[in-house]
Parts: sequence; structure tokens; C-alpha cells
Amino acid sequence: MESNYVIEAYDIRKKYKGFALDIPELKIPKGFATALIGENGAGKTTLLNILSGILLQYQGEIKYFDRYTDRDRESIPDVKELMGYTASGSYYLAQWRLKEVEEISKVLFSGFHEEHFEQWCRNLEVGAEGWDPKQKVGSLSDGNRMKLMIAGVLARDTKLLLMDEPASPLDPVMRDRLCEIIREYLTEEEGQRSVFFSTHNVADMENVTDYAIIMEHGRIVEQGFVEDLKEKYVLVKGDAADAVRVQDKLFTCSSGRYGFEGVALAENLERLAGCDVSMERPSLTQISVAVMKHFSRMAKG
Amino acid sequence: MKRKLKCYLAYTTLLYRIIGVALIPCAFWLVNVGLLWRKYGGILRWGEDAAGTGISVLCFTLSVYVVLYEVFTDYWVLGGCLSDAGKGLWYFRTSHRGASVMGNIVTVDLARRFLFCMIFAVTIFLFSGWKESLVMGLAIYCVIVGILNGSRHFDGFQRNMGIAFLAQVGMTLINVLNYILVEIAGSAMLACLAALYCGIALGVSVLTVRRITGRIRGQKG
Amino acid sequence: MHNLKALKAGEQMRILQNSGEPIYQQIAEQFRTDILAGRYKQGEYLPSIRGLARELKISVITTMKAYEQLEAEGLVTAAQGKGFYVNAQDSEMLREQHLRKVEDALTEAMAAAEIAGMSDRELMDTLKALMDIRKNE
Repeated sequence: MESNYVIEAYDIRKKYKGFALDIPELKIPKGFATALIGENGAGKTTLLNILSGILLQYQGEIKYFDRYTDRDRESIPDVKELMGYTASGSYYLAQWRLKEVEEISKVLFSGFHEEHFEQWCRNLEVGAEGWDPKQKVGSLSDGNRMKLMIAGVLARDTKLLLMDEPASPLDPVMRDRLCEIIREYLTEEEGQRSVFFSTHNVADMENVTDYAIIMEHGRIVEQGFVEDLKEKYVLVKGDAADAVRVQDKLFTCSSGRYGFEGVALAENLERLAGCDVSMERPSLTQISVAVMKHFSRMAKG
Repeated sequence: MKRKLKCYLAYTTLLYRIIGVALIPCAFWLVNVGLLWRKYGGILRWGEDAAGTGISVLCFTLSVYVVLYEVFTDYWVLGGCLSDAGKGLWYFRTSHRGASVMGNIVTVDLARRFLFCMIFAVTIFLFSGWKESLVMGLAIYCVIVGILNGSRHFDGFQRNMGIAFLAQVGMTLINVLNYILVEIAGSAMLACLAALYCGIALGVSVLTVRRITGRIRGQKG
Repeated sequence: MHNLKALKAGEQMRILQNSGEPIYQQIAEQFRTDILAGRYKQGEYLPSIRGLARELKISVITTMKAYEQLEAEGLVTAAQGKGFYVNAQDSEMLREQHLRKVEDALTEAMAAAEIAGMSDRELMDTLKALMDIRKNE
């Protein structure tokens, strides 16, 4: 029986001054788009850099594609050939022109197709004319540099994309396009390809997220398939008069003059008996915000 | 070698190759030849061959500028590649070939620098003894590569510039040291120096390649 | 048998993002209707999970959940690695399905009648009257 995970990691630890990443277990399901959600500084980039092999000093074990260890990642070509990584800044040197990006990529990856690369650059309108071999990386806007990296990984034969904040530098239309690209990527080899991306703005990526991992202060505080999470949590609304009474029974709660709104665990709903509340299925954004608020409040004591 | 060259060509920009690798070194060479041709170097000779010529203080000065130039322009090729924050190597790290490709690039880069230093030495040779020229060329190479191993830890432009100026001081000191040694021990010292710098050049080259590939493979230092 | 890349030609699927009804239920409902109405033949494959997600611009897990619900209802069967195909809808099961729908609708009507203060008698009369109208049409 094939494993259902594209990445399994155990006891991942990394310490910086004033920050510690501590993840006892991480499993990224195969065939889906998984979102790594968290505030800035929650440790998303650190985790992605560890998984992609950018950051090499860490503790723990990682298993890729159900076969390779993180030592294999460094010693045999397979893992890195099958993974495409986009950074939150840009890892192309500013002085390179698009043509040089292409040349270097060809040298670095055997699965890199230059015609696909040029096609994607045109498709995503990376430069002024889509594909201008003479355009310098340094002269591109942040958004275009992100598109260039995306074109770079899509031009390769990969099975897993690791993307660090791919949506942040993009405009709303491009964010929509990014979601479409991720869906297309997953469709092409039904169930064989996976995407793992980080985001601090869930709303943009909600319609493409299958599995969500929520991080807070270097730890995973909640994770699960989105449809399951939507059943685990319930959005409740009620009158202002009840606000004080329900406050400590809810996961998170914000109240105002006209009433309160909060997120409760579905299993705790009976505790609200006697209050006049209406319930709704929450969106992933609402769940994430609630979970992050809850745990950052707990961290502060 | 073909693959090494291919990596280098893919990595460096055409502009750098035209200006940094071809034009400016040519200019150095021309200045060197021109000055020696006019025999401006009459004062303070170093070494003495059968013909009674030697390396003049002018050659010393030029060597210092060569070092300044080489360290300074490295900023546009491999500047900051050994620094912790240097994102320039990230892309290489995402590829299993990253370390070997970078190794190729650095090897070609070193070969180019060595060639430049040797051409410089040959120019001197046209007007003086071969031993002096060889020692001079090797010494320049050692200083350049030695300094680069340090300067590549910093990725700011200004720091790079600062180090390039410090490199000048280093080269001057080496020149003075060579001068004194040869003055004391005579031309027998030249052979010793040649052997010494040859060894250092080889060692420092190997170290440079190993450090940068090690960096991509995740070793510290 | 090939996986259908997307929806069948001419087929409509309308998904409302903010209707209050979970999207997976909307999808399941439409397929349920199509299957029970015989628009999908026995053994025919539903659109691929990821293909449909792409078409509808929703996440993969949502379509998957819809299909899993159809599977739980016995309408379709998952074929390992090939997708979901439509089961034989034997008449007994079809009848069962329709019966359940009738029960649901009547239960709803009863609840409404209670709120309106209708007696059982009045409710029966209404039903009878409606049936008469339908017969005469």
C-alpha cells in the first residue's frame, strides 16, 4: 500500500535567538494542495526552507515521497529533481537576464524545459512583453519576480511544489490565476502531484486549499482537511446580552454593541444551551483567525 | 572542461565577461606595457638578471591596482556567496547539481584569474627576468584569491569596496616583503619564493572551490 | 472506460459560494439528481475529482467530500486510482431513494402546517385537493 503522504517529518527542531521551531510530526498529504497558515514570524519560512533543503542545519528526520530520507535529498538527484521551490524573495541574482535564468536552470535541472519556461513567462506576463530574454531580474517588480520563479518551477517535471508566500507579491487577478495554476498542476497527474504553500492571507487561497496547517510561534497548533475543520468548528452569533455568559465557553469571541460573534468547537456546542445563538459553517479564514488568536492569547498567558 | 565552461558562461553575464574579463584586463595590460616601454621604471629595482634589468616599483604599483580591481569586481560575480544571508546560492541549493555546478563556475573563475595574473607576469618578463615575473604573478594570484575567501562572506557593496582597499595594503606589504627578502638573500631567494607562492596558489585554489561547494552542501565555515 | 476530463457537454453545475449550504452538498445534490434521473448510466465515471475542482474553481477536498457522500449513499463506487463510477440503480433502491424524498417533503409540510396551526384533517384535505388538481391537469 502506497503512503498517502508526500512529506513526513518527525521532531523537526531549529533554534534562533528568540525563536524556536518545534514540530514533533508533520505530514503533508499526497495529491492535494496544503496551506501553511500563520502570522509573520510564526516559522513558516523556516519550515519551508528546511523541507526544501535551503536550510541545512536542523534537527529531525524528513521522509520524501515515501521513499527518500533527507540525506538522500542531498546525496541522490531524485528528491530535488522532483521538488520545485519558490522563495519569498527571489533567489535569482539581480544581474541575471531572463536568458541567463534559463541557461542556469538548464544546467541545474535535467527536467527543465526551456520552451515551457518561455511559454509560462509569456502566459504569466513576467516582463513587459511576457518573454524578453534581455530583461534583467533586478528590473522586475516583486510580483513579476515571483511569477518568474513560478514559471521556473512549472517548466520542470516535478511532483511537489514548495512555495513560500507565493500570493503576497501578486495582484488580485494574479492571485486568482495562481489558484488556477495550482489546480491545473494537481489535475495533470491526478493524485500524483502535491503543492505545499505558505500564506498569511488565507482568504486569497481559500478556494484552492485542501489541507490546512496552522502555525503559531514555531508550533503547529491545528491541522486537518478543510472540510473536516469546517465541521470541527462552528461560527456562532448571538445577542450582546449573552456575550459575557458565553465568552469563556467559546474558542474565540468578539463582542460589540449589536451582538457577539465567535467560533466554538462543535463538540462544545451543548455548553451554549440556553443562549439564543445562530450557527454557521465557518470559512477557513474564520477558522484560521480564530485558532491563531486563541493560541497567541494562550502564549501570552 | 567543456561543461565547466558552460556553467561559467551560463552563470556570468555577457556584460561582465566583456567589461570585467576582457576590456579592463586588456587596459591593465596596455598600461603595463606602455609604462615599461617608456622605461619609466628606472628607480628602485628588484632582482637582477643577466641583462641587468629587474622589476621596478612601477610594477609593484600596478600589481596593487590589479588586486584592487579583481577583488572589487568580484562583487558582481560571486559577491556574498559565502555569507549566511546570501540568497545567491539558494537557487543552487534547490538543485542536486548545485554544488558541482558552482564548483565548476568557481574553477573557471579561478582559472581566468590565474590566466590574468600570468599574462601580467609575462608582460613584466618582456622587460625583465622570468623568475621575478613568475614570483610577481603568483604573488598577485595568491593575494587575490586569499582575500576573496574573506570578502565573499560579506554581501554589502560598501563592505566589499572596503575589503578591496584593504587588499591593496596587503599586496603592498607582500611586495615590500618580497623586495626585502630578495635584497637580503639575492636571486637564490627568487626560486624559493616561486616555489612557495606556487604551493600557496595551489592550496588556496583548492580551498576556495571546496569551501564554496561545501557551503552549498551545507557545511559551515 | 476513460475518466471524463470535465463535466459532460452541455451539463450545468451552479455552485453558490455564500448560499449557506456547504459547497460539497450542493455538488452531491446535483449529481444525485442527475444519477437518479438516469443522466449518468450504470458504470459511467463521474468527472475526475481534480478536473471537476478545476472546472468549478474550488478545492479538491470539497469535490472529494461530495463524491464520498455519494459513495456513502450507495450511488457510486470508488475504483482505486480511477475515480468514481455510477452503480447499478436497481429499482428497489431507486424506489427507496424516492420514498425518502417523499417522506422528507411531507415531514417538512407537516412542520409548516403545525406552525400555521392547521389541523391534521385540514392538512389531509389540502393534500387531496392538490392531488385532484394534478389529476385534472
